[in-house]
Amino acid sequence: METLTVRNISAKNGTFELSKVSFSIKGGEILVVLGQNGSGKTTLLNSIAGFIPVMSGTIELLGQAITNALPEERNIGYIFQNLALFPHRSVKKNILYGTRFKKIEKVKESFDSLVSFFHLQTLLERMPSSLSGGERQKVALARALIVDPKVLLLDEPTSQLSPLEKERVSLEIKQSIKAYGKSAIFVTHSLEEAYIVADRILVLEQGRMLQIGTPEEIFYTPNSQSVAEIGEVNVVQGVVVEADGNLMKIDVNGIYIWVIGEYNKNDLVKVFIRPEEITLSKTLTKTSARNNFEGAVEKTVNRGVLSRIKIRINERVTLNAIVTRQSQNELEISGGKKIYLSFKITSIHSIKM
Amino acid sequence: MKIKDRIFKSILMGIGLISILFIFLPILRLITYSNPSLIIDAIKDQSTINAIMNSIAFSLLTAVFAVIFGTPLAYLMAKKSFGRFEGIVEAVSDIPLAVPHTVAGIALLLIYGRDGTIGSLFYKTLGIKFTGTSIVIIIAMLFVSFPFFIDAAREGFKNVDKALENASRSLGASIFSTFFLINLPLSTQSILTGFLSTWARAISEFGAVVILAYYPMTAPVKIYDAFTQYNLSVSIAIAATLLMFSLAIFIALKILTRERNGNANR
Repeated sequence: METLTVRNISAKNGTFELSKVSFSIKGGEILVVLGQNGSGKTTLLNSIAGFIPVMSGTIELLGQAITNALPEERNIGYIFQNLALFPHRSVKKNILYGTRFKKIEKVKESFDSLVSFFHLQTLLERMPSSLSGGERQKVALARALIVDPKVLLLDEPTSQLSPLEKERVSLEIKQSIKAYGKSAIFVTHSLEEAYIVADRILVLEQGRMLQIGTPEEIFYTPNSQSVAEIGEVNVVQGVVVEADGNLMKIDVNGIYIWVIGEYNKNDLVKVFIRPEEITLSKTLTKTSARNNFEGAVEKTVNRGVLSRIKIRINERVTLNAIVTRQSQNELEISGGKKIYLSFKITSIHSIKM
Repeated sequence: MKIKDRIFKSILMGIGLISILFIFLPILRLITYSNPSLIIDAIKDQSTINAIMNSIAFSLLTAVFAVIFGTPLAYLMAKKSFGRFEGIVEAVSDIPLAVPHTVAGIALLLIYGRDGTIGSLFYKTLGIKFTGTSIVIIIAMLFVSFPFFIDAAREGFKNVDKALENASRSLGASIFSTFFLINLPLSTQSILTGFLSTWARAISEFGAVVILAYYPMTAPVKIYDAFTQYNLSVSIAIAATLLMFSLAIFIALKILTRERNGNANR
């Protein structure tokens, strides 16, 4: 049975409008909602939680309609971006807050089990302001879980942590949600985090749902240019000039890219290439890859241990590749330097326009 | 620090000192001007003590009423509950700040006087007269000091993070429980500040009070009375005594609220 079913909901938050979003999540499943700032992620969560009214559509929790229920009647937990711990209440009082209002069997056992699961034993009498980011995170989770919500909504819960902590904490959050068997909707704009946490990903843009699928589907087989761009995939467009069985030769602004597909000659096709699937080398080497090109490094962006390299192949085509910092040094990559790219035909996704 | 910056800072410091002296000098002069024996005489005079006690009691009651009646309004205003009438409600609640106090007194007289809208109703049905009673003094004090409380409390409620309210609701608390467990405790400091400002404003009220009730005499009326009937030194002695009482309570409450605030932050 579906835990949460959202059908065609539209909601307004100021001038922003969320338009006809539909999805459902199963028991124990984590759905990541991925989108840029202003895409409607928080509006979506707030309408599911009942903080803002929906203009149309329905929301069902375990088969019961909750579209117009008050937030306190929904049995949906919420972890806020700033965690929203009550600053005037100790850790213990924060965790126990919901038990005043909801009938929970064996409150003491639940409390003890959560405190021990999140290792909060020594923090119970402390005030939230004296806790570290990671500790506050755990208190917020314990506070939400003690009232046994059927779904947990998490609004960019790691946004206030350092990049290093972010990865660790998002994995911990995933483990806690799974350990307690909860269904969850996790909002983020970070691709890495989405990949770590998601069972499935829903991509939002300007209040509209673009695609929903497994992380592999979203990152490797995006259904549109927008999804590809959000997933940082290279997108190029070209015309089929040669069809050899299911091998297609596409003319992309003067370069030829081979893809697998079933198109006809002269079909217009969009080609998606994941940046980490592009192999760089200093010399032209013989590889099994059909797609080999020569280019010049246009820009490098360092992102921790990885670097994103923008390579210009001709005046109208550039591709981004991702390499480790070590590879970048070995390849002596610098602006304007000549470089060779190759990528396997099987690593490319394409769609007919 | 560059010389230019130093000069700039010195100028700011100079103007700042002038501003603080502008406030402090008259207060200091009032306290030190009066002959201590005159102050003792003033304190010995039962009517002076009564007037001072009236002022303290009525203004404190005023502040309590401001909390009782002002808190719901401040909360609703902070939550933008009046929709498109929000601007109007805000403007109306601030009107007493812009109205001369004698004008406020006359306006109140038209409502609570023997022939006033409400006053006549009470007089005709129950034989109760407001003018010349402590009730009308508190009404006058409340009218002129109400905006001080509403503005402070409203800011307090506004500053409570919406996420905290939503967290409380998602954990099962109704709006009612959220108000008493989250909004109110987190706005206590602002409510106390509003209470203090209202009290301080009310204790000094003369213009509106004197129109509605010369008796029972409050300290500002007594000072005016002494000024017109006796001489300056008697009114200075009473004024200095009232000032010392007021400052003592004001400082005590400030310390109390600061300690409270300090504890809450720990």
